[in-house]
Amino acid sequence: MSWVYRSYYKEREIDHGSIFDYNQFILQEFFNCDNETWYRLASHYRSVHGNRSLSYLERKFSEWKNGNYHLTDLMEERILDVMPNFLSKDARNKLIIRDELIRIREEERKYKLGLDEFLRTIKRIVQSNQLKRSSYQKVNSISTFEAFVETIRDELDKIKNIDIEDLSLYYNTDEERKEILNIAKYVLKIKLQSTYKHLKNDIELVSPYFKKNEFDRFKISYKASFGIHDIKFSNTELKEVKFPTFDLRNIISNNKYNEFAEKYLANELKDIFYKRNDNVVDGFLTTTDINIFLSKYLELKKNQDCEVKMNGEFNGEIGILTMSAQYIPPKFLDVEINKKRFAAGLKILIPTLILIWIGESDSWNLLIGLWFITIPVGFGIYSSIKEDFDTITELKNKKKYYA
Amino acid sequence: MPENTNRSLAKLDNNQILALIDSMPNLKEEDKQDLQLQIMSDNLELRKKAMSKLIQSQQAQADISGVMGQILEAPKKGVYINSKQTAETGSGKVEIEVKGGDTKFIVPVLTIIAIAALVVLFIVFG
Repeated sequence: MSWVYRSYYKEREIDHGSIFDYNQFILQEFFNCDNETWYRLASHYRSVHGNRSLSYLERKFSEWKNGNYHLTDLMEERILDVMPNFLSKDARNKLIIRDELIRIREEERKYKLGLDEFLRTIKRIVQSNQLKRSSYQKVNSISTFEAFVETIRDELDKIKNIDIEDLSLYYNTDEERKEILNIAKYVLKIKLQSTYKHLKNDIELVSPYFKKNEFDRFKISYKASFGIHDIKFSNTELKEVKFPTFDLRNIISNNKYNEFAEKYLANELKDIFYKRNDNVVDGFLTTTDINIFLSKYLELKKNQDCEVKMNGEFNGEIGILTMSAQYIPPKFLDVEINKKRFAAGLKILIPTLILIWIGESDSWNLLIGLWFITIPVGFGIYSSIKEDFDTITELKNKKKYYA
Repeated sequence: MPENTNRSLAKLDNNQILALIDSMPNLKEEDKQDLQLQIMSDNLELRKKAMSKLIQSQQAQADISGVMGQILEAPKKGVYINSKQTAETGSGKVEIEVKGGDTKFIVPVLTIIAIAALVVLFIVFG
């Protein structure tokens, strides 16, 4: 036994202000048509489908209308085919409104898809072209101002040369493609401008400290990373440099997504400027803290009885400045030299005594048998003694310098 | 707030973004207002963060001064000191290591240790 679907006609309330069911509407118009329409329709029906079919239609009309008998697919198809030609003016208007609603809905759908594609593409271009580091890319090391400015120029050129001609856009025109590219490039330039400003501020701030100084052992370095670039200045004298300006003209958008494009842009810019200000706050105390570091160092140095070692690490707007200074007072040098001599003496004496003892007890075989221990230990002792002697020489030189 | 700190915070630039948003002709007025409110609120947050950093820096300065006082007093009291102090400042950290003080006991102490070590070695290997 097989299951057969049978459809029964049923009168329903139709909201003519919405996209209603077309078939239901036509069937309702058919079962509710006036006599005059019926005669015209029947005449036409007979000419198309013949007398037998019309007789069947007439016989079953009331049963179908009342939903007492199932309406076959064939008959439904014939009614739907014939009836549109005999619709009243009012019914035709309703269908026109329905068609218009369908057209508007389709336009809305295309607009939404187009807008989605428009914004998604901008984000995609920004994401794939902004400064970022990946593990498979070689890091570019920068150690001069000139190289830094040149790198920023290169990055700006890269942005200018971005092209999306090959990108398939389904809902946006060529004009909109240009707009997408313009907005994405503008966002990328603003981001690059932020990076440039932070680095410029940092370098201007730390440069004065990169000078030949009177400190005994003073080390200073500045490190920052942006994209695949690592900028590092270390223990060098930085001369004052004039940085070129990096100004941008405001963008003017002109497309059918204007409102949303500007909303996206405004939000993106708000986030970029927030990050910019956040970085400024990160680095706003750097000068104060460096000055604390230096003043305390000099204060401690005045005390001739102490060896002072200071390390400082300070966050700039984007990079990190590290400083270290060490001062050993001349008075303390003698003690340091004696300590090192004592340590070196012990390191020589103990192995010598051990060797004498081995010689007396004739245990050379044991020493050779344990070669995997004696050789590394021997090397360790040797390098440690050498280190002590190097330090003694360094301290003696320092003593001479202070004298 | 110190003057140089004020100068640094002057770099907090909201005028540019506010002007940019204001110049967008197709952005709805309510969206503009909403964004302006968010920018103001973010600005307050950032100033709060700056304040806490400033307090942290001042606290670090006070801590270092305290430790330095003790260090500078040590030689006068005739004691040997070996001190290491780390202070978190507003923008990073400072580590101070000080060794020194009265050194007159160090040489005798070292001599005694050396003699003791020699005696032990002589007993063991002699």
